[in-house]
Amino acid sequence: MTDMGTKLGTIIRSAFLIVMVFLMLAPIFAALPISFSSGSFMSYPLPGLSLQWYSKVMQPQPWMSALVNSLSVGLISAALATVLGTLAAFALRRGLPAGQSALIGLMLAPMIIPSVIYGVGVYYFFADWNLNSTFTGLVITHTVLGVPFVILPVYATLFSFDFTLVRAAYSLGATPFEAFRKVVFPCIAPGVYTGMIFAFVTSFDELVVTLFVAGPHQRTLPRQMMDGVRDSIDPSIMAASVLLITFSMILMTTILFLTRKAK
Amino acid sequence: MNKEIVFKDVCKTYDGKVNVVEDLDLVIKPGEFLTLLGPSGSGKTTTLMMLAGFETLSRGTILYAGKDISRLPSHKRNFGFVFQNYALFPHLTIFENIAFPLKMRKVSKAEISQLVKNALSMVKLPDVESRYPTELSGGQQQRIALARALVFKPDVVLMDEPLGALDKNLREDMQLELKEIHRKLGVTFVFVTHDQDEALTMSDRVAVFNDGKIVQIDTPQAIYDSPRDRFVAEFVGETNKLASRVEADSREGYVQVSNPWFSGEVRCYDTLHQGSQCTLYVRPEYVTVSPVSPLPNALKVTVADMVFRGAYVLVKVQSDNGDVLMSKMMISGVDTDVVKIGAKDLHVLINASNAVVFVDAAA
Repeated sequence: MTDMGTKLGTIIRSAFLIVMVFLMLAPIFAALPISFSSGSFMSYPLPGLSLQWYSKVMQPQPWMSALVNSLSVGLISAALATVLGTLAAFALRRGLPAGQSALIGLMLAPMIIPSVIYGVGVYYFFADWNLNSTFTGLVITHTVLGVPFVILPVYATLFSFDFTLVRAAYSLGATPFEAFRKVVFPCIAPGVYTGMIFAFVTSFDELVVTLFVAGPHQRTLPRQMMDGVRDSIDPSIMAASVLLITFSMILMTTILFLTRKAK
Repeated sequence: MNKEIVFKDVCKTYDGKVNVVEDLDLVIKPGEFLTLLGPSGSGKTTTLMMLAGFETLSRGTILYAGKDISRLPSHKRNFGFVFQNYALFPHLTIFENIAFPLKMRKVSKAEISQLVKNALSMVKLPDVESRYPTELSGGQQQRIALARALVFKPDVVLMDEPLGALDKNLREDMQLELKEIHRKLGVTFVFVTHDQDEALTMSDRVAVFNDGKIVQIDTPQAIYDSPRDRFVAEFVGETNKLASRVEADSREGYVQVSNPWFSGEVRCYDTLHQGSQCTLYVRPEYVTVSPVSPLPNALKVTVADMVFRGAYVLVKVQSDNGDVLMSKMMISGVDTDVVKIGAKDLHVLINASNAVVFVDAAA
């Protein structure tokens, strides 16, 4: 009976896993072949194989300029979010215990607040500062969205960090800056890098808030894809997707590698 | 140049109400091995932390070589520090750990490698340069931490219970080694511990802390033999406490006292008046159990327990009215056929030459 029970359990669990993985990956694999289509519509069966959509995606306009824009916004905002998020994580870890959980909640809010609400809020807020439709405005918004993704892993890493190491460094003649660079940073680097990648991906993937804040000439990749689906239903968007999926997989593997190294 | 460390009227409080360290005045002589001894919460660690620059002073000043260092950041003090949990940098090899303070001081590469080698051979761990801290045992890690705190020739070495995490045998070896290193280098060592044996074994002087104050600072022998304070008498070493009565007013540091076990003249530091209550402190090694009666009607005792400790034996005796006294005798001087567990009608001889009396607080 118990044997039967465990066996049944195993079967159900495996079946569940297979269904879940299928549901997650199927859309990706369904879209993938269309990117190689020689036809001009997103439809099966494929009339023939071609790399034409990849070459179209590689054209400077509109795809490559959108990619460059996304990369610039992503890298700058990820860098800013990393600095701010790391400092915030330190403050949370070293600060007063009173009100800490409330403070953490506040700092993680951008992760939880629906993007539409955030987008509308930022739009009105930025109107007074003339930041709408500017590159700076977009970077600021994406930085705010990225900060919680840095705070979380750095805060977690700091829990296993022994702060007497900082005192040790001081006693050995290290200035506060040297102590951070030579002792603290190397110890918490896996958390910081993980946070940086998450912040970058968050920005790279952001659509809703961008739709509110960015002006007509401010095309990020997700926005370009959105427009692509709406305006012209040609398979170039699929080629772009395949390239993005490959890129994301490389980033995620890096994170996996970093977290494993941290242990 | 006199490289004295002077604490002047130093106070430390965390909440503005309770002083963890109170009105501390302390002079640390250049080159001495000073131990700060006391129970937890007595202020000894806080004192060390202020000296290291890890804690700020709430009031007062600390002088080093005549200069006020109260507000000097730790990295400018040139004091070595050995932590209880070693605090080795886990991402650096042993070599890099010991080289760290030298790199901070911009020492040349060739010199660094020579100095690190010397430091490792001083702590008797010559072959671990390329390993990481987690690959070493606790005792080895503490040696590396010591090497790292000494390699840059600090003016003072501060140690916060550095042997606390080691097992007993290793601890005793390290005590002797630390003492030897101190003698060789001639640097001032300030050592914090709550272990009185450790304090007595290693130090030139011991400062006993209680409630944020130094109650006595003296050589280990003076601390043990002539405690100036009730707390010191009870905290350092084993002792018998005998409730006694003052028979005559104290004169010139001596007082006539009596209790069921003993009556006679004993040293005192307080002024005692005839008829008041006091406590006589006498160490077990000054108590002898013997079949011979010292006085015509001396108290009779029974041996309640005996513990053999190798060279000596601890004897717990009990009088008929239930009072208990500990005696510590060299095994060579004890007739174990007569003094054994359950033996009755024995007598106790108290040698009061080293005993001391403190007045009881008025109830």
